[in-house]
Amino acid sequence: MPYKGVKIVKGSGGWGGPLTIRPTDEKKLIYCVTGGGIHPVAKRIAELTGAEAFDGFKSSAPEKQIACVVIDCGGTARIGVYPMKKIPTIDVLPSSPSGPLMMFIKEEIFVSGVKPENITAID
Amino acid sequence: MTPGPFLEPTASLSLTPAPAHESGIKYHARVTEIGPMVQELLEAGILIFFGASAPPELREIAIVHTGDTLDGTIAPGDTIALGGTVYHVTGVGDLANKNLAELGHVVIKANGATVTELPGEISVQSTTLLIPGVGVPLIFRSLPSSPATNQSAANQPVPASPTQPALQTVSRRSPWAFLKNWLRSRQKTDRSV
Repeated sequence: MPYKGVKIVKGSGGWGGPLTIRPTDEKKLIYCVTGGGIHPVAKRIAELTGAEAFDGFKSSAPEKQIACVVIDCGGTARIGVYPMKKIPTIDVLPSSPSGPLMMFIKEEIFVSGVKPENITAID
Repeated sequence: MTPGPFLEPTASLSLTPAPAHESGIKYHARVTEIGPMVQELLEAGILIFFGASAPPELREIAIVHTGDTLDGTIAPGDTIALGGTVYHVTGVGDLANKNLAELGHVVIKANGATVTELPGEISVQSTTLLIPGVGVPLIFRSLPSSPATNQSAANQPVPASPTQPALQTVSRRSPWAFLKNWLRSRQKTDRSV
């Protein structure tokens, strides 16, 4: 099933990116580890790509199925873990690289301050 | 069969914390897991906590615990008892209470800051952070540190009070529920203690 690509740019006050996310048959989950269920940004990415949004706090999924992860990290834990694992990371808060894992946070793998309007279809 | 000497029931024996409104306890949990990266993060000056719902990649970097209910809000002046160690809260980030309530997630940094550097942090006094053992309590409360919280006996975080009933309501998650019920059954059947 062909998935579509999206481009994600940093929002106001944000950092990093732009990221291009194009799910595949193997990497087909838009993994969401914000509090409070599936975040609107994760929903939007899933809508535009045709992939499936997934709540990481409700159930588990293998890392290799994750196309990208949506976090709402205030700047220490989640902001570093996913870039460290080379998973494209979208932070809905306008965080900059910080915390002990900040060496892994690069513009090619991380973008922050993202709102639904910062996500556009590219196919 | 009489209870062994080490299990002598007394009126002051308290196996569980008193209800929050009596003891000032805002959040009560027990440590279940220490992630493999916790030591490295400790050396960088932080302890990261997550509740049981955390996925595996977040458990790697965290102290995982059983907590799931925040009663009130954590504020400067509160204490955090982690096993036998007590930290004093100096500052609370804007997201710390929300993260703690929803995800059991908090980052503790011992920098004595009254304004935290990052919104998910709780700052405590400048001191050496210690990695707790599995099974110890994690308790946020609004009283200043009391003698009981400094005890090395991590199963009695609340000072025993003569007015407390010997057998209190035990949450389903209390690790001492079995022991408490056993004691209750012994008290009913054996008056020769």
